[in-house]
Amino acid sequence: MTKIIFCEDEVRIQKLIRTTLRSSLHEIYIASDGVEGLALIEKERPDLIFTDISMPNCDGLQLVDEVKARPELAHIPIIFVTAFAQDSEMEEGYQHGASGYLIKPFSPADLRMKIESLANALS
Amino acid sequence: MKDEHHQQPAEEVEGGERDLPSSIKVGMVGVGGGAEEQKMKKRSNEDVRHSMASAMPLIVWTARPDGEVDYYNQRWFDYTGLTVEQTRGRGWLSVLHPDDRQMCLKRWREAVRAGKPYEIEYRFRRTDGVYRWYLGRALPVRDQQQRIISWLGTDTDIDDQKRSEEQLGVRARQQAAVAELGQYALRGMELPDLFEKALLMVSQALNVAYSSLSELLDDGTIQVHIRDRKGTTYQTVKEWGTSQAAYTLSLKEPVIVDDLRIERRFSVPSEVIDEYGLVGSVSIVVEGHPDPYAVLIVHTREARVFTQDDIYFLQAVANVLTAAIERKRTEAQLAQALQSLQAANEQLEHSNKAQNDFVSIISHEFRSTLTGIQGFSELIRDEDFSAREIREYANDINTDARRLSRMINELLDLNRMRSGRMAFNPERIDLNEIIRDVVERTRPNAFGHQIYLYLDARLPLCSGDRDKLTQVVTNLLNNAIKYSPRGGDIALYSELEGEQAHVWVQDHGVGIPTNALEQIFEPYTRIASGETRFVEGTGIGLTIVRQIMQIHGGKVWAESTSGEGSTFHFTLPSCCTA
Repeated sequence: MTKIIFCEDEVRIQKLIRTTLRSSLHEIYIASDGVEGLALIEKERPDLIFTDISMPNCDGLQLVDEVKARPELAHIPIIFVTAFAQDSEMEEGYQHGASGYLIKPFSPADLRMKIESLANALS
Repeated sequence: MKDEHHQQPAEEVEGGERDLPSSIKVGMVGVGGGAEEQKMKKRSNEDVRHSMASAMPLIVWTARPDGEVDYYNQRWFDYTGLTVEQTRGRGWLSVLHPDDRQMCLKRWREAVRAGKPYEIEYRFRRTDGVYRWYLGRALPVRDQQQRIISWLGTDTDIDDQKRSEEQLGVRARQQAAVAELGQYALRGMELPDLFEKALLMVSQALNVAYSSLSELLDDGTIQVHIRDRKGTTYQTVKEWGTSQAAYTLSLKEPVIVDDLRIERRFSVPSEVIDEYGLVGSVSIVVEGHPDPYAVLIVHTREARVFTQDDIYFLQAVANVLTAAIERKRTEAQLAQALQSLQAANEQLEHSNKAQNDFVSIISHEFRSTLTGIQGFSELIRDEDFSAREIREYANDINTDARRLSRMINELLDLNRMRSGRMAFNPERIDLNEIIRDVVERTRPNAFGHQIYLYLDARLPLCSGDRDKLTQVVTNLLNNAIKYSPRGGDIALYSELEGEQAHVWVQDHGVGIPTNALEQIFEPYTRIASGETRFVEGTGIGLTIVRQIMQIHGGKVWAESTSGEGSTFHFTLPSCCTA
């Protein structure tokens, strides 16, 4: 079973994520910003991280930097879930260390598929 | 020096020939014969010589071995107008140019002493007083024992040549000066320095005491560069007046002045004439586009005839100056144009970037809001949910959809306001009444909040758009409610300050960090706060509020202490008790 942490500040999208993954067998945690997210990541040592970019307190790019800076966490794949998806923005994201992108608005089905393929890759 | 051994007649010395034997042997008719014969021959030779000499167009003279001149041909007397008596002894010196006398005597003495050929260029005065250049030459006449028995000399008029040479020399120097000035101009020498150089060259080339260049500047003033014996100075003058420069400009041709003291075509400051003792002058125009750039003037301290060459020279200098000034002015214009262009470009880039950023931000906001709509609708379509759940998700979709709709409307409003296309209907409005109306409409929905009014009864009617101002008050009041999630008091104040109405809304909610007090008026800026995470807005409410107040000529600002609440102020001018 995979442990996944989501960082998303919009309440309705948090609800969407929860509803989408209500039947999945994975362990899901949702944080509201980068600070909360980092604390959760450090505590729970997830297998996967999905994060928004525009969040208050600590945005997605900062979060990635923080995670990649920690040797014990650096290996965890991080997926950006964001509407900031122009070529230049994505390039920037990859440069920070993102492993992939899920572009908003996304299909719940896409979210599930992404998780499955990543989880399979991990095992 | 070796004498030649063969006989040869006394050579006819035409002007310009330089190859002379080092002496002339006597004995033209051959050797032999008795003393009487010799005497006769000698005499006849003398006669021949004298008659030949008289016939020649040159001045011919002879001198004794000690150097005293003892004979002149008629040419001499014709030319100088002297008599034999006046010429005798050292009389001939009197018609020699004073500057040449010393050298002449020196050289003649040397030649006589050494027995060497004599050659000199000097000036003799003609009957009319004019000095002309002559080439003087003399050779020793030796007897068969090599003793000098006399000197035979000629003076050839070389004045025309000499003047030509001088002229050529002067022209060459002038051309060199112009070329040098041109070089400086080409290398981009700054104008003040170039003018100084030009005046220096002109002064030297024409040998004048005083020269000036009056430049007409863009602002209409005239900068006069002056060169005199002491050096270069400059001064600023307001107008041309009736000066020589003005006259030259009006004439559009070189002006030659014979005597400044009696000049009537224009006025010259007498102090200038007196101080420098100026007499003659030449002035020319330094042409330009569309009007002349300057006037170049030279003044002399003695009466002088300015030649055509002199005028050409000044013209050439003026041409160089024209080109240089032209170039500098064009460069300055170009530099200025470039600067404006760069500034405009920067502004455009900045504006462009802001625009791009704005579009990027808007699209992000819209997409975020769409996420819920797309997501939930897909879930409902593809999966099984209870009726309650469906209703719940439908509500979520609906909320987001309406939010999106509001965002679009507000964005359009903002856009219209910014581009000045928003309908703005000012009328005489009662601000207190507007506030009361908004509060009445909002109070029912403000659970947990007490709303108090402290309105200034003195507030007169103001000029403003009723709907827009209602929107402003509504927005501020809604914010106050939204951002005090734990309830609390909200107060609205109005006060008359001079001719302006001051309104503020105070809450006791979460407050705003100091560094964000300006940011919040920017579109789509979210302030990080755990407690207000759940607050949903369109992100441009305050942006619109500010825009509306700007149109009214008023201001909006916020004060706040984080954690203790905020106060939002706005002012509305043009409230007069009329």
